[in-house]
Amino acid sequence: MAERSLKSLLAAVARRDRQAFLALYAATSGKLFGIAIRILKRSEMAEDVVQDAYVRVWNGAGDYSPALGSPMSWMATIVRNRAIDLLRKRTESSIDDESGLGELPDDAPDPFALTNQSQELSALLNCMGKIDDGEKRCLMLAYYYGYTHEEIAARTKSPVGTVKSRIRRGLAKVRECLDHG
Amino acid sequence: MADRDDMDLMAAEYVLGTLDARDHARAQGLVANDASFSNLVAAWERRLGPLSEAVPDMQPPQHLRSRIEAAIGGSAQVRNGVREAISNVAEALERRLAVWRLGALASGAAAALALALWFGGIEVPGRPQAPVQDRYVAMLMGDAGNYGFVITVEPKAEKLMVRCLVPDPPDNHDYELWLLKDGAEPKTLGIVPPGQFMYMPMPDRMDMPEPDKRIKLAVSLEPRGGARGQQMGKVMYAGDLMKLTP
Repeated sequence: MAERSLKSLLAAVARRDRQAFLALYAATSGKLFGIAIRILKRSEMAEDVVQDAYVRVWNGAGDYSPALGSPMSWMATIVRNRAIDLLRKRTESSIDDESGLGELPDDAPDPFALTNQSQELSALLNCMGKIDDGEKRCLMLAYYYGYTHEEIAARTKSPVGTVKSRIRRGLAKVRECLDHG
Repeated sequence: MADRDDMDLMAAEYVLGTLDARDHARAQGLVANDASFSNLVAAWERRLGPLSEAVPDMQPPQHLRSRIEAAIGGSAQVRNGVREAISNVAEALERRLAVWRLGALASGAAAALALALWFGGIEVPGRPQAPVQDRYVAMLMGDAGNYGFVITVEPKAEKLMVRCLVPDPPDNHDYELWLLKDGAEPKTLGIVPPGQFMYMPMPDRMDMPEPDKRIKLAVSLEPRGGARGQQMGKVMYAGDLMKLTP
């Protein structure tokens, strides 16, 4: 759905319009659930996170402003934050990660292959295209799967220290490129 | 400058999600308490947010939509319900004031009588004025800001009146009512019977709020039969018990 329509749906949701809320759900739940399940790997946890996020959107749609990014990116941030919180709290208490793996293909989404990119995404990819492949891969694994340094190190078969510095270097370059061109 | 750069990269890694549990919790604390850090986080959310466009859609199960509708429906409906209840109270007060304006002199005694009528509810003019019967109320609110239960306590009548504003608990579960007091274990007041308007017996020596003693009522979701002396289950709704009468 076009960004403009999402903005007007959010504005209607801020006025407590239930129909608009359901339309917003129909337009965005596939994306938000896709984000949550990639990070959490389990349907029931992803459902809880997506539910929390929509309740938050229902109660806080008025907090949205274009300064926070596109509506989709704003909602995706809410879902990612909650999913990563849950993941960190869970790994703190029990490490039983393996049972849920394998439900999903482990190939990271490829934003570069996306044909229909927003202006913001193509600006970001323009900058990410300039960084090393190793740095790029670490950033993608972290963003799409919520992996920690250690987990990325295991996946890329690199020392943790290398992963840490790749991520920091990659982020600093992306920031420099986006902020100063 | 190095410090600020470190903070900025920490904000970036928080947004990216690479921090381990300890650093993640630390960053979360900063987001809540440090405006400059939370601005750095917002800037990174904006920079990296567009990456989510590339995540393939995955349709959630059908039941999720109804769950979310129930979660938000509750709040909208209940808010309307509360608004209605408030306007009903206002109308009742209006009616009583109208009676008072018609029939009574605008003296202090008449005003006191009007108050007694309002709070006592049963006194009629001409009868000796009975002391106002104490009444307490707690409006229990859920996480989503929706009201779940309104509980009125009349110590003299030794009963709790429970108005339930949410659907019955899920199958094989019960709602249980608890009294919470600072520094004391939660004390069960019993299983809430199903329905919208219920009475529950008031336990002996139930703690009541006082100016320096705060009492909270809470409803938890328990397996059928209640917590039975085990630890209290998930708190669904909670609110302060307040004295309603002077």
